Parts: sequence; structure tokens; C-alpha cells
Amino acid sequence: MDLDFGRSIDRISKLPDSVLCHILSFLPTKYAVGTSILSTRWQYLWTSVAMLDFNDSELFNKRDRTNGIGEAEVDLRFTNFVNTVLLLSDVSCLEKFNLKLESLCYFGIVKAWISNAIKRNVQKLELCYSARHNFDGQIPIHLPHMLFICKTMVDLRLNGNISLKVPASVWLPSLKILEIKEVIYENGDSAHNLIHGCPALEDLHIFMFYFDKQKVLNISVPTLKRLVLTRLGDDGHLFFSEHKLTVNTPKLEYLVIADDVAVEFSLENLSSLLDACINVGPCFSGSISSSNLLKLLRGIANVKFLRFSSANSDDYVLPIINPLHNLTYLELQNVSDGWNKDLLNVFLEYSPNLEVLVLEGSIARQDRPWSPPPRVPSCLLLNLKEIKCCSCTGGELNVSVPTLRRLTITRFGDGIHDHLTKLVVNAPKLEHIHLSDYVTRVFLLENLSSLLRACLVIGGDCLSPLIHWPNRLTIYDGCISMLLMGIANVKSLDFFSELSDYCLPTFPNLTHLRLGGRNGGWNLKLLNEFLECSPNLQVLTLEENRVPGSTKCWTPPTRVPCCLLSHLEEIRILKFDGDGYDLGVLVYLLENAQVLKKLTIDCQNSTRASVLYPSLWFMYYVYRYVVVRFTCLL
Amino acid sequence: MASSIENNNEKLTLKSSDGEEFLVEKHVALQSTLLQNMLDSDCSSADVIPLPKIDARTLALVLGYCKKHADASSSKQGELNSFDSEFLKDMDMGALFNLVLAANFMEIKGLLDIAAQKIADTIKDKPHQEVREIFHVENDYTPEEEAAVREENRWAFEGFP
Repeated sequence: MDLDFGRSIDRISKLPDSVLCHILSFLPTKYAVGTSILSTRWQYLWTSVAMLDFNDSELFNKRDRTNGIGEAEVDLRFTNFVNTVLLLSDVSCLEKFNLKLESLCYFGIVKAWISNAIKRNVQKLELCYSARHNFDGQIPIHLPHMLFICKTMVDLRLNGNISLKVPASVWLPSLKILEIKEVIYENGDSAHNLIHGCPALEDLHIFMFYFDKQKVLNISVPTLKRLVLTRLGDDGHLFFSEHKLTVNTPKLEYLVIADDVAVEFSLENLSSLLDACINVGPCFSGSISSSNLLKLLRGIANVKFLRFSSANSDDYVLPIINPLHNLTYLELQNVSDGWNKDLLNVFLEYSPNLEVLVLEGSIARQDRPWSPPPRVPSCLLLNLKEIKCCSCTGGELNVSVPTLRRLTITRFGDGIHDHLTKLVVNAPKLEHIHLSDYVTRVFLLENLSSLLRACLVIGGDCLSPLIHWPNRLTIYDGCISMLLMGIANVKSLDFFSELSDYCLPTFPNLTHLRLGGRNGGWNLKLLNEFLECSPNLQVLTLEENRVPGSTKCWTPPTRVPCCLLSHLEEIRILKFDGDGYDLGVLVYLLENAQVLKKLTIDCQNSTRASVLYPSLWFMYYVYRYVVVRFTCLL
Repeated sequence: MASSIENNNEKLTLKSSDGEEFLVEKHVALQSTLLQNMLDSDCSSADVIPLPKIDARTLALVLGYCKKHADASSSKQGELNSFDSEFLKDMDMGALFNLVLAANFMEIKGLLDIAAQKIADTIKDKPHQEVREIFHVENDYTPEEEAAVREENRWAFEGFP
């Protein structure tokens, strides 16, 4: 305990046995046994470690190197090792038994190992054999009968080529966590029997395939809190008439269903549900029926956070559902050809308290336009605070939501409807707007009086423009001027754009400006205009400026912009590389910024920084009143 | 005990081996099963609880951990995980041993686990001689004994660096 001698005395060996064994329990058993060589104090410590963790892969990786040993010999050594450990271990209450097998060929003994762990009152059992579905005659691991009547088991995880043959007498009274992934179901009711023999189950993970014998899943567990279910289909199989899913779990809080195959869903008694992620519908075979959808939505009526996706269909009869009063977060996710427009209307109509709406992926079926609901849903008028909308294509997008605070939109062109793209935003409470837009032709931004921060990534790829109109430049630049006029109240602006000539409005409130390029660089001329139009600018951040073939010559403004004279306090130059950068810009800013306090130049990743060093140091000496900080790898 | 949880303002005093006293909110102290049992069995909270095996420096660390976990019980698990991984970062072995002993004595499961894990990570993947040097473990086997131990568990020693 004496700290003065802490450097030279052996403190670890003086720890009590229980603490040392606890430390060893965090090591794979191979390493725990290995510590027996350290000293006599350690020789038999491992025999009291309550967690056993065997993994044959370490051994098999070595096989390539030690070519002399045959597979049978390696198997034998591993088997002997596990046998020896189990013979010598003193532990009567095993906390954890973990067996990961990747290539062991001799399986007869595995069943006995598991039985041994169960006789030691094991609490957590994890069995993983990764060579599932090789169909090369690999014999699955069979489980001992006593596994299914183990009173102490709390956590059971089975993964891989394991045969699940569940006796009718299954009874696991302590089991709280059950994970069955990619196992082989011997009967059509194996999983069902197992789940319903666990009266205390709280956490259930199932991962299965369409071809598994277990086709009907009925999960009715009164204690269940978390359920994660995945059933994978196969595009070669078009119709799965037998697959059904029933969930009846009054205490369930967290639900994830990704079921490609079930044609019938029944979600009942989910009154505690908080968070759900649901991805349903035979993705590869037409549609989920309206009545099923209705059942689904009725089932999750209490949910607060919902991520939802289902295969698209034209055949929806919009279901009338009970309002989702608790729903505050909704994310419609992309499935193959986009999220469903009709579903959006249903959700908006029946989610009066929605605060965050995320639309991921494109709108499905471009050929049939989205029609707005007949009357404006109340959530849009009262509660909606944030919208995130990604890769919407084509047509007009109108965001006129009086309560909106944050808006994120990403738009890519689809090449067909690009000429129709239009963005209308009318949101008097909007504070943050983040726009990545590569196609929009018409911006109508109105009423953005509360705007604090805007991040705009604008314009097509300047190397291969998305827009091929002959009169592209005029129209295009006009659009961006409209956009900037709409956000002229902003306080902090990040502007990333390709080289173009814009006509800028005045930004009376702008204090923080960041200019950066897309696929090329920003225009030095643009810098002049922004300086001229931002009388109160305090912090200016410039990213690299490397426009291929662009004019490198920069002409300083004819008169010094007033922000340089009275407000600009800080300049940050990021990704400084000196290649396309005109040092003249820097010199001009340093010479004319009268109240400048801090200059930061970041030369990271620059290959030319060493060449630039002398000139940077020169500037440092000349303008020494400025705090210059170089962050440079060199 | 129910009443002691309800009244979060109640405090108790812990005294380290080197005589320093720490005033601790009750709900923070309850992270320790030892203290919880003491309070349950109605040791008066007015008294100073002596912790003769734990020095002030270690106790301060332990209480920092308890406070974070007691206050964050309703917040995100991810935040606690990143706190845990930062908590032991750059800690020297001496402090780590003090901490593991304190966590063991005070029965603070989470802290015992992360400290034990950290020590285990130091042992793993290292040649035995290096482990001996790091922890100053004296090899008291005779060469014959050492060879015998190695032979007994041959598989465990294969492939060691």
C-alpha cells in the first residue's frame, strides 16, 4: 500500500484472490491459464476464475504457420485443453461460459462441455459456431437436454450451426436475455416452445431466414422489454404464404422488426412501447396489404420514437387509425424504391404532436405526384420543430411550417425532373437551415426573420455540371442570389459553392462567415463581395482555394471594406496549401484588418507546407501583433 | 432505505485512512453496496464512517465515479460509457491498484469491473517475462518447476509472443 515503494514492489500479487480472479475473468481462458507461469502465487489462481472463455480461432490461425501439425492433432490439443480446464476448475457457480468455435471438427465432446457448465450452475452461456449453412455436411452442434431446464441461466446466446430441438418440458425460470441467431430449427415450433418456457424473459433477439422450419412466430411474453427480430427473405422466392408474426407484449419498450417475409402481422398489447424501428413487407414481392398496415399502425399506437419503412405500393387504401398521440419523432426510411408518399400523409394526419420528421431516401414512384392532404395536418401548424429530408428529387418542395426551428435538406438531381425543382420555405421561427442542393432552380425563402445559422452547399459539380442548359450561368447564378437574399438575416453562414458570379444582398447581422469550395474552390472575387456586403463581420474562415484553371490573380477591392476597418477580429485559414492560394489575399487582409486579434493557419495535409514556411514566418515577423498559430504536421 | 433515497439532500461523512473527511450526498454513496448495507442496517448517518483502507486521493476518485453514475442514471448510457473509458485513461498502475482495492472493499461493481478490465488488458497479448517486469512479479519457480507448469497446460502457452 505504501506509494513510495510502488515502483519496485509486486503489488499485483498481493491483491486478494477474489480481486485477482476477477481480473483474470476478463481474459480469454487461454491467457488466464497462461498466467500460471508468472510465479507460484499465480499457479492455481485461474482454477477459481468464474468465467470461462474458449475460442479455437487463435489456435487455427497458427495452423498455417505450424504446418507440421495436422488438423486432427490441433483438434485434439484444443479438446484436451478444454477438458483439462474443466477438470481442474474449482468453480461451482460459473458466471459465464463462452465457447466460440470456428473450425473444430470433432463435435461429439461439445455437448458434454455444455453439460458440465450447466452442472456448475452457469448464469451466462454463449455458444457460437460460425460455419452455419455451409451445406457441406457440417454436422450441427446438438444441445444437451439439461440446458432447457437450467434454473440458474440468466443469459443464453446461441449463434450459428446449432441444432435447436426444444423439449416440451423446457423451463428456464431465471432467463432474462435470449439470443438465437442463424440456428437450425428442428421443428416448426422450436423457437415458440423455447420462448414460452422463459417466464422472466426481458430481452429477445432473433435472427432467422425464410427457409427455416419455424415459419409462424408467436411472441407472447408478459415480461418482455426489448425485442429485436430479423427475418431475411430471398428474391428467388416470391411468395411466403405461411409466414406470420404475432407480438403480444404489454411491457415492451423497445421493438425492432425487420421482417421481409411475413404476410400477416399482429401487434397487440404494446401499451408500454417507446421506441420502434419497423421495416416490413415482402420487399421483393409486391405489397403489404392495407389491412395489415392498419393492424401494424394500430399495434404501435403508443410509440414515441418511430423509424418506419415498408415496401411501396399503389394499392393503399389510406387506413383510418387512432391518433398516435405520443409520437414525437418519425423517420420514414428508404426501401428499394423510396419511402411511401401515402404513408407520409397518414402519419402527418394522425400524429398531432410530431416534433421531428426525417425523410430518408427518395420519394417513391416519381411518375405519380405526391398530393398534399386535403387539410393541413395539425402537427404542421402546432408542433413540428425539425425536418430532415434527404435526396428528394424533382418537383417543388414547399416547407411552410410556422413552428419549424431546424431544417436540413439534401437534394440530388435525377436528370428527369431537374428543370422543375423549386424550393419554397416560409418559416418565421426557423433558426438553423442546412441545405445541400445540387439541382434547385427556384428558391423562394420568405419570412426567415429568426434565422441564426445557415450552411449552404450549392451547385452542381463544376467538372461535370448537372445542368446542361445553354444559358446555365445566368439562370443558375440568379437562383443563388435569390437564395442568399432569403437568408440575409443570418448571423453565421457557411457557404460552399462552385465558382460563379453572384449578386449578393447586404448581410446586416452576419458576424461569422466561412467560405469553402466544392470540387474546386471558392471564387476570390466572391470574397471581395462578401467583405463588402457584411459590414459587421467578426470571424472569417477560408478553406482551400484551388480552382483548376481559374484566375489566380486577385484584385483587391478598390476601397477597404468597412468590416476590415472596424469589426474583423479573427481569420482562420483551413487546409492551407499555398498551391492555388494567393498569398496576396492574406497579406491584404493582414495589412488592412485594423482590429485583427488572431490569425490561425492550418497547413495540415499540405505537401507544400515546407516550401511555404519561409513566407509564413516572414509574415509572422512583420505582423507580429497578431497571434499566429501554425498547426502543421511537419 | 426507501426514505433515504427519497431525501436526496441527506448527506453523510466518509473518512479516509489519512484522516480526510468527505461530505457525500446519500444517493451518491448508495452506489457502494457496502455503504448501502450499512445504511440499511441503520448505522446512524450522523456518525462519520471510517474507511481505514482507502486513502484520500483514491477516495476522491471513487466518489467522482459514484457521483457521475448516481446523477446520470436517467441519462444516456453512451455518455456513461465514454466517461468510464476516460476515467482510467493515463492512470498509473499504483493508483489503479488502489482503486481496484477500494472498489472491491466498497463493493462498487461497475468501478471494480472497469479497473479489473484495464489491468487485464495490460496482461493480455504480452510475453510472460514482460508481464513480470511491468508488475514486478518475482519468478520464484525453479527452472524444472517452470517447465513442468508449461507442460501441464501446453495449449495455453502455444503461440504466445
